[in-house]
Amino acid sequence: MTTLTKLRNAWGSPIDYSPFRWIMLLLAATTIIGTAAYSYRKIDSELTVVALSRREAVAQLMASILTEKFGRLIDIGVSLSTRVQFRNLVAAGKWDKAIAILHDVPQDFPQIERLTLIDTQGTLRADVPALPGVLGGNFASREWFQGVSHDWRPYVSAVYTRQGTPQLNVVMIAVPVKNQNGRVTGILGLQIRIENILEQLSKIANSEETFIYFVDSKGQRAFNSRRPDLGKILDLSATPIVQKLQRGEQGMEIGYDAIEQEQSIFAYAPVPDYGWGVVVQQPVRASIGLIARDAQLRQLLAGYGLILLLAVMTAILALRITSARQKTESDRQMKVDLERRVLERTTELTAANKELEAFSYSVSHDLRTPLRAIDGFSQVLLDDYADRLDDQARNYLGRVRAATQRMGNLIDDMLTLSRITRAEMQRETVDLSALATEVFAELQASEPERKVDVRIEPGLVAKGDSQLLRVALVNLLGNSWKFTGKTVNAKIEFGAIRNADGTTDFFVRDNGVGFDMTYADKLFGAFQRLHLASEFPGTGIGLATVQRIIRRHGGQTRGEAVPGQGATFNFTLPG
Amino acid sequence: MKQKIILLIEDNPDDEALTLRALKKNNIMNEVTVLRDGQQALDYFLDEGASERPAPAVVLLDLKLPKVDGLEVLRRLRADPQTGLLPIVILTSSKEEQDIVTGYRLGANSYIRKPVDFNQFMEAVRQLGLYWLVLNESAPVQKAPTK
Repeated sequence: MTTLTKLRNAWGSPIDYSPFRWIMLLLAATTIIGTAAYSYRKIDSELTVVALSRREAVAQLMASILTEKFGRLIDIGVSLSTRVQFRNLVAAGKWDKAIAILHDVPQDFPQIERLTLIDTQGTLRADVPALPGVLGGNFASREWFQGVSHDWRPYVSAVYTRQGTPQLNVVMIAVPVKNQNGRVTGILGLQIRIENILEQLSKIANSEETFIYFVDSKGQRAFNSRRPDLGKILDLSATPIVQKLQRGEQGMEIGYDAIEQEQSIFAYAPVPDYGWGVVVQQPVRASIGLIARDAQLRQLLAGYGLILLLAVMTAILALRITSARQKTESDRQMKVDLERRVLERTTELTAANKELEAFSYSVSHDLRTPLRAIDGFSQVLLDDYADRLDDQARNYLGRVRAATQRMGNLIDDMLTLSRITRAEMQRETVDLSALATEVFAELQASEPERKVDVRIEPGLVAKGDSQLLRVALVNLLGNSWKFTGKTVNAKIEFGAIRNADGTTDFFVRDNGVGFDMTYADKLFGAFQRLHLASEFPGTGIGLATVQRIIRRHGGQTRGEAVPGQGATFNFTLPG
Repeated sequence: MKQKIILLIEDNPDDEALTLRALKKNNIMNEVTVLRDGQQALDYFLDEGASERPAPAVVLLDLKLPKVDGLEVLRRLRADPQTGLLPIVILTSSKEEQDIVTGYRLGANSYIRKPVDFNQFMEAVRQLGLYWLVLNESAPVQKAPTK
């Protein structure tokens, strides 16, 4: 047996391999779904990384630009504070003259909102442009003062809202001013309007609904590019991303933004030297990269869906083919079974028929022989012993003879009946009208003196055995003929009624003596008679014969009558 | 002229008696030889002494016979050249179609069913005797080929 045959058998066998087949299908489906899920996850993460790495790069770029920016501002501060004349004036405590030197600086550097000069104790000594009511105030408690005085190195403060009006959000770049010997004699403060620095920066990435914000060294949101006019400084030090930034980590996350109230991508990068950080945020729905990713993933899913669908369809097809094959197989099996059963039945029937034939044969030979002896020897007695027999004895012998002859007729009728049951049928189209006409002609010939009004509907045809149907008509029409024998204006009709369901009821109707419907159930029984033999002769085999013939044709017989008014017999011949 | 004999092959004594009576009553006075089974019938024609026995004018053959049944007797007689043309009339109770057809197929000259009514039987025998013993001319008896 080849492998192919084995396989085919494995799929084709009706019962044994059925669970095996289902397991195989399940396994195949699971594999496909598993592979799909795995690739989905893998491609999802890869595409996410690709889509988001740009944002991370933007965040890093922002961070380095901010570093650069702060560096430049510190450089400006340092270069201003190291001017010899300025340095000397500060060292000499001539604050107004010192600031006057820097008078034009805010105009030259638009980013610088204001310059302040603070002594080492934190007292504001001079400022340009001057704000009213701040001179002489002490700022030693300010974060920027503590930041710069901590090690006397330039310091970038956290964001704060400045005291003087207008109350701007500012960052203080505090640069120590040292004398020739390197001793700190004051602090030059560059007040930077935070919006000014960051506005340009944020424009770089201000697309796809991206917005950028800066987190200062305190963990406050210093600036929100999306809402540049929103003055409020927001403490975000508790959020995980800000905490990561403050630890100097960079990275990217997707999460829910409670303020924006939507799923967002956060790319973040620290600005290490200053303890700041940059966050580039974009709603997930607006991310072209993610949209592309999702589209790609949808395509992937659709692809796998298609594969699964194809696999399922193939499986269903295979199942249908195998089940069709099984059905064919079982149909064939059933056919074989049926054929075998038919053969068995036929054999049984043939055997039964054979037995019946043997029985009939035996009856035909053996039952009649003693009858003949009885009849014959009765006659012998009558002939040879006539002188010794009185009338009574002769009468008895006469009855013996009549009885034997009747029994002889009964035997013959019985044999006829059994022959009708056994006879082979030859189905053909039979012209019943013509047949009836012939039968009536014969009846008329047997009793030429009788006048009967015979009506035969023309064109009545049926499918059946013409010999048997003839016997049936002979009996039915013969009965009508017989039972109208004493009727004046005898009338016999042969016709048909077409029923609504397409069947046809043939009928033979007469106006003869009829019969009592009480005994209708005996009508078709063999040797059943409803009339006295002395009135109407017969053995009672006629209607039994008719019924057997009609039954062999698959039809039914029915008789109705009113005593003294006539009888109607119906029969059907389907097919 | 040698008298024509009738050979009656009949196992039932009642039928035998009635047949003989019917013949007698019909004034058929020919000698009747009665054989009571099929084997006797075959022996009568086909054993060593067969040529010594008179050839019957007609054989009345019953079908239901002990030992060898009537149709078999008919077949064997027809198979033998000496009896091939012998007038054989089947005289039996049945009128089963198969018997009639087989009987003629095997070469019976006639098939008569014995009526139950003795008067009808008498009439049948009368006609039978008249026909076969008076009207009918049988073929000359075929002699066995000499060695």
